[in-house]
Amino acid sequence: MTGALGRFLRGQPLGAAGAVVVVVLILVALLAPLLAPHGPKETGFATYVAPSREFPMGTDQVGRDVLSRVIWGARLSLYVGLVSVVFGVTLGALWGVVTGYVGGAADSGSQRVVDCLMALPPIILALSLMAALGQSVNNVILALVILLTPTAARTLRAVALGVVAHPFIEAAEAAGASRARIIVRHLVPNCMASYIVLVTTNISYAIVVEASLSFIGAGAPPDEPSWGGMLAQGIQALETAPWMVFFPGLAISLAVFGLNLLGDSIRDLTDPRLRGGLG
Amino acid sequence: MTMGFRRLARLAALAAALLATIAVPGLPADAQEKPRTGGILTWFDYGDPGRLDVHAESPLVVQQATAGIYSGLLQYDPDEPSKIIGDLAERWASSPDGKTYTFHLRKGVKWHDGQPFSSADVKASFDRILNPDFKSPKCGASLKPMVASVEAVDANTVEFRLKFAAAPFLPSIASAWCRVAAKHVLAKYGDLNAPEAQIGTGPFKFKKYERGSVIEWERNPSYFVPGLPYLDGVKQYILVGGPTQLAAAKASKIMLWDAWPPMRKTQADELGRARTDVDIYQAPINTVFFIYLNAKKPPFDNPDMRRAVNLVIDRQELVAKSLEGAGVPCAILDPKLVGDFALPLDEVAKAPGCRQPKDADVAEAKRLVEKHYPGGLDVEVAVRQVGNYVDRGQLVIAQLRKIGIRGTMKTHESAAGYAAFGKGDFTIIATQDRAMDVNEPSGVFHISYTSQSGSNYGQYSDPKVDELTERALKETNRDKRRLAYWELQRYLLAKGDHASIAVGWVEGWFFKDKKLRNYKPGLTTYDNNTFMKVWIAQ
Amino acid sequence: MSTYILRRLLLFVPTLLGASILIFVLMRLVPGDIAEILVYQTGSESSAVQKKQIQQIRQELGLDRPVVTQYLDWIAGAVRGDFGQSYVQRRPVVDILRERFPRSMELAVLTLLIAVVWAIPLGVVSAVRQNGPLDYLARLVSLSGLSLPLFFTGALILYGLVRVFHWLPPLEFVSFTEDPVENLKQLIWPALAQAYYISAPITRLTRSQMLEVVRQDYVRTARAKGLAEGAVVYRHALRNSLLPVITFIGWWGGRLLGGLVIMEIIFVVPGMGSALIQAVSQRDYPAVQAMVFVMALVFLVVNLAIDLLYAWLDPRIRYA
Repeated sequence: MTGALGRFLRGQPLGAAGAVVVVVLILVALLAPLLAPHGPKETGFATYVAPSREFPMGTDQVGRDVLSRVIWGARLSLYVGLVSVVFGVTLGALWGVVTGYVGGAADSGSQRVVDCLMALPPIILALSLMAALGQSVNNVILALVILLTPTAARTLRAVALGVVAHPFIEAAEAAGASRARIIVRHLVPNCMASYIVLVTTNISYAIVVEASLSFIGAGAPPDEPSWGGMLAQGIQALETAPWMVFFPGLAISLAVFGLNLLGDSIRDLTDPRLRGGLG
Repeated sequence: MTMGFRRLARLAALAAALLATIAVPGLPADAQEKPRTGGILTWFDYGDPGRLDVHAESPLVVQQATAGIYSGLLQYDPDEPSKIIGDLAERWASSPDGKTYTFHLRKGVKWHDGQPFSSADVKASFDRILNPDFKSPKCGASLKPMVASVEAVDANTVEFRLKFAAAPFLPSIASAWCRVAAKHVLAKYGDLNAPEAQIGTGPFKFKKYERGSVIEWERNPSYFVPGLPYLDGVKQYILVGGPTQLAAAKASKIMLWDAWPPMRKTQADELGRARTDVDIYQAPINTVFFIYLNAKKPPFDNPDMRRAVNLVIDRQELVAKSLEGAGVPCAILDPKLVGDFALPLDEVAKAPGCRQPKDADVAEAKRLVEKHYPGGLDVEVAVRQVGNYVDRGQLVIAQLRKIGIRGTMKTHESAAGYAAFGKGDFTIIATQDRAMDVNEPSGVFHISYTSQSGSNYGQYSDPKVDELTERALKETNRDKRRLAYWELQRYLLAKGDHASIAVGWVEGWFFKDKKLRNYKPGLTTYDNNTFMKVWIAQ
Repeated sequence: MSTYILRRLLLFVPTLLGASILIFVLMRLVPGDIAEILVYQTGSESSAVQKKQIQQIRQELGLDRPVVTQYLDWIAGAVRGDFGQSYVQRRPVVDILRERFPRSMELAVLTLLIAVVWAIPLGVVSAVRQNGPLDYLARLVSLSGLSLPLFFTGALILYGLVRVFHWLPPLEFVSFTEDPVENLKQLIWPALAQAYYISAPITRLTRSQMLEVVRQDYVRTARAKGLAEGAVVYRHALRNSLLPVITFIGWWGGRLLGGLVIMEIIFVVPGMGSALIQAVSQRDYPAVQAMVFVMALVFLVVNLAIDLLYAWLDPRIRYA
């Protein structure tokens, strides 16, 4: 195999495997309408049918095709994971970087706000938000954003403070560069690696947290094909219909594995200090 | 027991009829053995009661937690759950006009703290329950319309004066919610919420309440029926959630499942595979599966739309799929439970909305919808997140789609959902079960069909329904009463535009350990939880 | 140093105030209150009676007063240690706290112990044998902990115990002081499940920190000085790479009280997490306020402790 791709595959086999999984995930999500034999909410089939030729992953307690729901679930999980993390982490990162650099009252004020938000138990925050807003996929995203933003702000602020300590920032300031310019030209690029790592690890975290919210009744509406919701409903019939639990569980695990392995590799590659071994 | 002879005969006939139809299907009769004393019975509560005031509360968990502690004036016979027998009252009589009931109380009964029991306790309890400012959603709600006053004639006699001759009075007084509490306990604590206030005259004493964990009773050594109870004690684990409850059953940690929610067929099958030392049976839980339409706002303020929903709902499919076949579809009254007060099921099966195949009804329903909403319409379909309500909601939505009503599901939290329903914050409630408090034909109408009933969430008012219900309630002649209820059921089935739609009576699967003897489930989910005559064989 | 500690402690106040205001407002934005729930959940009275009863209950509990008044009332009580009466249980909320808090703390401590004992060595091994088979294995195992939702692992454990051993952990809660063996028999399972879940980030963080630290100058110096590989790894690299790991553990630990909810529900542990969930769903405002307050306080205290530990471990760090 040639060039960079070959080096990547040989140097980061786990990362390559992760990348493959993520690509498959994205493809399934995009092509769901073509791949799925039935609609995600389509009932009318017999209930609790074991995997068979007609229903390769069986049917669930209301008579829906599990295969179709798992495929459509890729779209939902990716949508929820991506949107909530991109918004949440980006919002938090910008907030943390800017206030960390600007310092002063803006910084200490926003740190208090972050403290307040982080001190609240996340599951209660999510539960109350969903109860107040009503259960819908977009409200789940909103709840996840509110959960992810403070931590991202805290983390990226620490990274930004580390970057600010470097002499080239001082030099740029002395040369008369505006704050905005410094943020855009110097801070953001140097915080990028941490930002990317945070995004990749948090996507899988968001998918798993949504599942837990479904368990306590605060996740996506139960008729939506969310993998977590399917798991939460499936454990009621663990022995009778293990396929209801096996396939969504497999899907979630694969997605998390893929995303995290890929994220790890990206971090290993982009952080120059980490190349090479210990001994 | 001194009563008018005719009344006695009628009661006996009713009891016999009920007996014949009720005998719990599948539960094997116990061989004649001598009861063995000793042992602790284990079962579970599906939630934490929090407060323990049996007069003021309504959830089943509260009643379960305190059942064996108290006695009532009357009770349903633990050996024969359809029969009413005395508890604290050893004899009772009614006046010829049926408006005064006199109860003669047992002598020598003591409270669990040693204080003597007297009619003053009965008066104090019922004065409290009947007080118009006191919120008593179970006993109070059923007695207040009927009872005018309670008087203690002497230390061992109590008199109830009714507003009219009410057939449901005795069954209501025998209800597990109408228990007698101690005057001195009420005076000391103000209410019965605290564990310390659980002082009764029942077969068991309140031993321990570990919140979120377990409730324990121990035998009352000075119970007024000598020899009872057989058990040393009763333990209820507080188990929230199906998987945990089923795991406890499979691991032999609980000896019976006599609670709400009942087991589903899949769970019953799993249990049957895991344990061979249990009897698994199907039984009614005196509960109705309702669909509610909001008659106060569009689209269901329009009778045509209500009629359309009534026609398209496939009750048989709902019972078959969401109740896994454990239920009686279409019936407004269940013959298994109230005998011949219920319309015969073959007549019910011919009513519009119930008859199969549904092609004609579905076509008519579609026509009605298209008349007002040619392109169909979108509605929100509400359910509370409890049990398998969400699954039922899916099925209802699928059925409504056949006539152009496109539903999106809106889920509510288990507790707060009631607030939304009570306030009328909904368009359709896809499913809401309602348990009867007393096994009496009047129950379901007062609960969901009359204009003022609290569970008539759709707030639909039909004066004819109110009139018929009132007439049936006050009818003293049993045959005339039966005919009144038949007329009422036929009216509702024929008119088919009420905002409360009865999908069917709910049944479920239960189990009991084979070693458990003389356990007979009550006719409602609330009755016969005292275990006073239950024993454990070797 | 002591000024630092004092400053941090003073900062508790605005944070706790802010958090309590947040949850106060949030709870009132959620539809339905205790009065409506109590009255409407029976549905056996007529609607006129119901409306009257709701008014009555609201008056009794003071819910008909302006929100600001209610909050000031609550704060005034809270500083005295009086968190009011639970709307649902009709007893002082402090009694509920006193019962539930120790149980959740015990579960949290047990979980952290297991997680740390398992995860840190795993991370070290993974770093020392970077890109070797052990590294891959360790990374896969720890990742699997992250990939399955907590309730799923818990439900599987429960199912496995019943199916394979026909045994279930005790359903009745016994405190550690009453009977340590019974208590551990019950708590070990939720602790294991939760530890498995949180050990993943700890392992990964340990690994990446170790990898980073060994490239630092002082490790090269130690090697140059001729110290044995073991000493290099354990004495220098580990000690210094542990710092961010400790921070992370502290952050996780501080939030564990709330995070234990799912384990408490599945394994029937009557702790604060499950009590809080119940209180939220039943709109028991005083109970929610008090429990969130305690959880926030624990979070802040644990974070402060971790920061102080950080300073003590790394002589280069000095707080002004």
